[in-house]
This record gives sequence, structure tokens and C-alpha cells, in this order.
Amino acid sequence: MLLVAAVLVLAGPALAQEGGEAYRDFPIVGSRVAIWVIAQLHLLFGAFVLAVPLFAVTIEYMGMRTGDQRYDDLAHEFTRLLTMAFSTTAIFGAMLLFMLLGLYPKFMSYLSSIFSATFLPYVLLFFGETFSLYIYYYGWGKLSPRVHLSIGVLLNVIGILVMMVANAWVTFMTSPAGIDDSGALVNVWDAIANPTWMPINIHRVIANVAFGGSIAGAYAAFNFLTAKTDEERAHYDWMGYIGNFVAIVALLPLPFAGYYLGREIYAFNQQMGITMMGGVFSWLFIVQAVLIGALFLAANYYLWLGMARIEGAERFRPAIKYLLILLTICLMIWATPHSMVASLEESRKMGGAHHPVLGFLGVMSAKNTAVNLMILTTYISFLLYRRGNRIATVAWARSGNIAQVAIFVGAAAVVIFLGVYGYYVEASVRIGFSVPQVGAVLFAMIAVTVIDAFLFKDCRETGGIRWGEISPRSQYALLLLAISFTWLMGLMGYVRSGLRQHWHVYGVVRDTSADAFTPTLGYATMVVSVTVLIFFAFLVFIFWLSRLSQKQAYRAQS
Amino acid sequence: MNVPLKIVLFTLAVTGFYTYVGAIVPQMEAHPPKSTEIGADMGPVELAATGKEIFFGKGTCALCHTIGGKGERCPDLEGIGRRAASRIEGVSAQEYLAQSMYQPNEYVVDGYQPTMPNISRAPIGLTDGEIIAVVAFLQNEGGEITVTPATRFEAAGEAGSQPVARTEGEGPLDALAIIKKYNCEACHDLAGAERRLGPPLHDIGARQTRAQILHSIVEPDAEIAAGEPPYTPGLMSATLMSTGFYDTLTLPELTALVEHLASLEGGE
Ligand code: HEC
Ligand code: HEC
Repeated sequence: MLLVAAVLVLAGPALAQEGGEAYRDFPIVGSRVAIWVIAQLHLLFGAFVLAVPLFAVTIEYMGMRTGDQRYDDLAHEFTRLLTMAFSTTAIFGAMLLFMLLGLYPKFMSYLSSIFSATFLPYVLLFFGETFSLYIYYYGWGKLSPRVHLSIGVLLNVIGILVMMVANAWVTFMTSPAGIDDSGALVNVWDAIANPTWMPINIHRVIANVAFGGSIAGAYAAFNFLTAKTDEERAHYDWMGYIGNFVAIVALLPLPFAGYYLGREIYAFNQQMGITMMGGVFSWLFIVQAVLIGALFLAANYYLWLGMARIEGAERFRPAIKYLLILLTICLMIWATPHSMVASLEESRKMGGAHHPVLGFLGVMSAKNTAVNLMILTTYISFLLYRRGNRIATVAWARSGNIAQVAIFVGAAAVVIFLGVYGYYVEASVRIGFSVPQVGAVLFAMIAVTVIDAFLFKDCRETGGIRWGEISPRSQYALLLLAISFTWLMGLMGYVRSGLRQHWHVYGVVRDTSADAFTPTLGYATMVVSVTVLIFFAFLVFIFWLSRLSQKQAYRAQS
Repeated sequence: MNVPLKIVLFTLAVTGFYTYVGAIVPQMEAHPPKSTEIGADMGPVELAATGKEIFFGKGTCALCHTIGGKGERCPDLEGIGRRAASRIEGVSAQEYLAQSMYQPNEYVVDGYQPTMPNISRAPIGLTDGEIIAVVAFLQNEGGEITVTPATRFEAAGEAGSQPVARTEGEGPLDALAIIKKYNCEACHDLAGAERRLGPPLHDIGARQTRAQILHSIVEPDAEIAAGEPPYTPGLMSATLMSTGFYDTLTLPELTALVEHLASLEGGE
């Protein structure tokens, strides 16, 4: 399997140059959809495979620090999912490469001419990842904890490097650099470190963690719902909680990373940026807002239901209603289109790029405000959840609480003030407001967390957490989180590729195939949905296999 | 209901809902822009009308510019035809407008960032003819149309619209180099069936024998390719003559060129 991949990578350029055709056709669905689906599946599994070691190692480390065996077992369980998912990723990767070479030979030969220098390192890194993964998995409990943890860290470092190499190829297609006017390579490092490379690297790492957390949560939810004993339920409830926790923690900074990426796209090519936010794709961001809304709602809903199993958390129930209302309002604002125009023609008729009525709420200013408030709200949910069964005993508890509330109110005030003020200033000034807005939110989250840590240092516990005693509905929230995340990744894949419009490599290699047009959103979402369903079908199979291996162990023991 | 089934139904329902959301928003399909041919006999009105289409279409100008708006991100172009004459001293209105497209950063309008791309280059890649039409359209906004299809702008420089590196139609490399050097693609579409100043050649290998192709190149006027409206006789020979094609091309090069064209059999 690996050898096939290696041979293909190295022989690729040669294969691609044979024959003079630029395109070949894939039966029935056509080349584009075939590549689309396989690439997306490869990406989804890849994201999972990259994310799980990140938090497996973190959880293992927590286990080492606290001496709590549960953490170590959980990390081990996550890693078991990993080994199967890893081979699946590799299979899809090889399929993708094989199909690209077969279906898009000319384009691939161009891409090889730019990136051939990166192929060997990629293969080597890939081998490194494989070896460290297997050592990490099979060495569990057998190597010294320190050595084992270091291998886990190494696995992560290599995994991220593999992703970064692949990102270089993909981002080059969007924002080519390091080439001359005719498209010939001048500097391979410039081609790798093209304008959208770093933003995508960062965006993907964060999104992968959130996605991986949500998939782990779905795994736990599935097992919780089908569990036979209370003990199992308690275990999977806890695992689901951790998965959700990981997903939320990564979800919070994701919009910021998204804005960073968007800004880089604008900076690289303003026209592309406008196409993205105001042109053909403007409606896509409405769909995206629905999804992100679902994510935030599901995550919050899960936390609120989770309070039921915490003794003493009843105190906070009334607050939840208001958080829910706030979240819904923010969501509605966020989902207002940036510019509701359907076509350039229509835009001309309206005399501008903004809709006269809806454009008002849809401008960046309102959007930033809404998303910042959503993040704050989710954070408050989380905080309330955390202190569900705790009562602060320090002498300054009251003033500490007041300080926390004051910080929240202050941050919200800054966010809202800048949001409103944004309407009265020039666009160029307004853009600068997003920085203090984000700054206020980040500051509030950090400051409140620090105060909280001291506040609850030697707190009184009003009761324990009754793991396993959570409404099954909460588990569907976890499933919703995982499905929405997967679907969102698919949708973003479409826009990332779609931004290139009728170019394989933007402005350099034109797409002259029959598929050069950008399909409608409805069509794209169909493809995304089918891909997501295939992904889950594979995932269920992998989960089932992982359970199977456990069962055998059980019989051997008894 | 048994739990796994419930989970499957739930997954289908959620995916179905998102698919539904994707289906109820307005559906747009964006097609790659087509090049517009500028006929030598176009009058000012026709030119401006064509330019308008390019402005809102292939040129994607309206992504950034408004005509009669606030001009938030990019200058509003209402009355630009009038303004253009006085923007730079000693530069005529038509030349200024052309310059703002070919060399957008030569003169940057006060209060704006130099973010306008060179319109003649990829990815927008308007042809010289299309730019003439757009200039006519802009001049029509409050000014007088002075350009004609024959206008040549100084701002276009020697390079003018650069051919874009493409993947299609590759073969022995020297054939490609020749095609690039003599700009065959300005008049012939080698990748598709588009009519430019000359007939498309994407399928020439299927239509003609090597001998016929050779003949068409060496003596373009001997037999004029059929077309509706008819192709201009003498255009190709005159152009190639003036670029030194017939003086400098060697026999092996010519062979390679013919060989390459013969390999284009359409169907891509
Ligand atoms: C990516 C955004 C963008 C696109 C696309 C774009 N422009 Fe511009 N344009 C600008 C900006 C920004 C300026 C102001 C800075 C400058 O002068 O370069 C400008 C300036 C101009 C000016 C000078 C205006 C004046 O008042 O002197 C003209 C004329 C113009 N553009 C025409 C066009 C035409 C025609 C097209 C389409 C073929 C086009 N632009 C496409 C961004 C754009
Ligand atoms: C200035 C425009 C122009 C350029 C540049 C040009 N051609 Fe042509 N070409 C034409 C026109 C117009 C015709 C059709 C009239 C005719 O047959 O002479 C034509 C016809 C042809 C034909 C015959 C097509 C048929 O369907 O019968 C071939 C082959 C050809 N050109 C090859 C070339 C090659 C190779 C180059 C570059 C070295 C080139 N041309 C450059 C304008 C051009």
C-alpha cells in the first residue's frame, strides 16, 4: 500500500507526460465529481488522523500529571480508532493521486514541474508518520511513559509537516507564487510559502482538532446510546464530554483563523476576495452561517443538558434561557448575507455592492459583532457548566465574581460599541475595528479563566458528577455536532476550490475542460452530502472493527 | 425503534436538512468568460455597448466598481468619461482610461489603494480589442467616444495582452515556443472551438492532412478557410510577415509546428 503510494508519487511526472491529452473522462459522474469526492474523503480521514494524536497526547500527558489511569485508557482508546483510520486515509490518498494523474495528466505534469522537489520529503515524512504511529500504538504501556509520550509528540510534529507539504500544493493552486510570467518555476520555496499557505495551515490544524473532537464525541455517543451497562454509559458519557470539550475549545478560535485566511485572500487578490464574499459564493456563507449556528447551538445545548448530571448545577438553569435568546439573535444577524446580490447585473441595478436594506446588517461590522458575542456566550455556558458543582470559598469570592461579570460586560460593550460605531466611519477605518473586538473577547476569556482558576482553587463541592446520567438527547447533540462539522468541512472544500473559478492554478493554468464552470450551490451541497454519508459509512465500519478487536480481548480474558 | 436505526435516520435527516438549505438559496452557475470579438467595422455606439457587456461580464469590473454609487472600496465610475481627460496633464482621456487598465498602478486615484489588477493579464485577461470596447463604454459615461477598433494605446506597450501559459496543446517544446513567440493564439483557439480573428485550430489535425496544414501556414492566402462571417484574407500572412515568421523559421521548426498542429484532433 505504502509502496504503491511512493511509487506513484515518484513516477507521477513520467506517467503524466505520456500521451498528449489534457483531460480524460471518468465514467458516469465525470472527472470533477470523482476527484471531488475522493479528495474530500481523503481530507476528512486525514483531518481525523491528524487531530486525534493531538488530543490523545494531550490526554495522555494529563494522565501522567494527575496519575489518573482513566486518562491513559481514554487516550489509548482514541489511538485505537486512529490506526484503522490511518490506513483508510492512505488508501484514499493513493486513489486521489492515481485518479488525478489519470484524469488530469496535463495539469498534474505542470504541478509536478513546480513541486517535484517536495515529493521525496513528502514520502519520507509519510513513512515517518506511519512508523511513529505504529510505535505509539503498539508501544502503549510497554515503553517508558516518557519515551512513549515523546513518540506521541514526534507523531504530531511529523503529521503536521505532512499536512503542510500537501497544503503547499493545494494553496499554490489558489495563490500561485514563485513562478515567472509564463508559469515556469523560479523559486520552489516561494511556491510553497505562497500567500495562503500559512493561513490554511493554521486554519486546518485548528479545524482538524475541532473536527476530530466532534468525531470522537460521535463515537462516544454511539457507544453510549447502544451501551448495555451503567459502567459503559458512564465511560462513554465522559468520553463524549471530552470530545465535545475539545471540539468547543478549537471551535472558539476558528472564526478568527477564518478571518485571517479571508484577509490573506483579499490581500493576494482583491477580486478573488470579493468573488468569495460578494459574488457567486455570497450565498454559500449564509449556508455556512446556518452550519456554524448549528455547531454553537449543539455545543451549548449539550453543556446545558450536561448540567443535569452535576449536583448543584440547578442554580444556573434560569440563566440558560437568556443565553439561548442571545445566541439566536446573534445567529440571525450573522446569517444575513454580506451582499444579497445574485449577479453583477443585479448589483448594477441596485447601484452598488450592498443591498439597500439587508446590506445594512450584513456588513462585516455587524457580522464581527455577532460572532464575537456568540463566542462569549458559548464561553459563559462553559464556565457555568464548570462551576456547576462548585462553590468558591475564598474570602474574595464575591468581588471575584463581580470582577468576572464586569469583564464580560466590558468586553461585550467594547464589541457592541465598535460594531455600532462601525456604521459611522469609512470602510477602511471599520476594517481596523475587528482587531480590538477580537482582542476584547480574547482578553475577557483569558482574564476570566485566570480569575476562575484562583477563585475555585480550594472550592467546596456540592456534589459529584454522575457520569452516565445524562439525557440521551444530549448524545444526539454530539452526533449533530459531528455531522455538521463534517458537512461544513465539505462545504468549505467546495469554496476553497471554487474560488479558483475556471483555473486549475489561478491565473496560470486555465481549466479548459467541460467542467470549467462553477456548479450551483445546490449541486455542490448534494455532492457534499453524498460525501458526508460515504464518510460516515466508512467510519461506522471502522468503529465496528475497533469494537470487534475489543470483544476478542474480552473473551480471551474470561 | 432500535438505536442504530435511529442514529442512521438522524444522520440522514441532518444531512438532508443541509442539502435542503443548499437548495433553497439562489442557484447560480458561473461559466468561464467568453472572449468578445471586436469587429473592424464597429461604430462608437456598438463599441460602447460591447464594452458595457465586458465591463459587467468578463472584465469583472463591477465586482469592484460602481457606476453611480458611493465608491467605498473602489472609485465610482460615474462621469469618468469627463474626468479622464484632466486626470494626468498631457494625457488624453482615452489614453488615461487605457492606462488605468494596462498599468493600473501608474496613477492611483486619491484615497484608494493600488489594488486594481492589470486587466490585460491573467486571470482577467481582456484582449486589446476588448479593452478598446471598455474604453469606449467608459468614455460614454459623461464624455465623448474617441476610440475606434483601430486604436492602439501607448499604455499597452509592446507586450500588450500577454498570452497565458496553458497546459493544453503541448507537444515538442519548440512547437509551443513558436506558437507563443508568434502569438498564433491571438487569432486561433488551440484549445477549443472559439472563433477568434482566425478559425479555431483545436481540431485541425482531424480536418486536414499534414500537407494541407503546411500549405495553410506557408501560403495562408492561397486558400482562405471558410467561415461565416468570412475570415479576412491576407490578415495572417501580413501579420506573420511583419513579425519575421517567414524569414526566421527553420525547416525543423516548421516541421515541428506542423507535427504539433496535426496532433490537435479536438475532443478535449
Ligand atoms: C479588484 C478590484 C478592481 C477591479 C476588478 C477593477 N478595478 Fe478599476 N480600480 C480599482 C481601484 C482600487 C482603483 C483606484 C486605484 C487606482 O487608481 O489604481 C481603480 C481605478 C480605476 C479607474 C480610474 C478611476 C478614476 O477615477 O480615475 C478606472 C477607469 C478603472 N479602475 C476602470 C476599471 C475597469 C474598466 C475594470 C474592468 C475591466 C476595472 N477597473 C476593474 C479596483 C478595481
Ligand atoms: C493576425 C491573425 C493571425 C495570426 C497571428 C495567425 N493566423 Fe493563422 N489564420 C488567420 C486567419 C484570418 C485565417 C483564415 C484565413 C486564411 O485561411 O488565410 C488563418 C488560417 C490558418 C490556418 C488554416 C486553418 C483552416 O481551418 O484552414 C492555419 C493552419 C493557421 N492559420 C495557422 C497559424 C499558425 C501556426 C500561426 C502562428 C505561427 C498563425 N496561424 C497565426 C489569422 C492569423
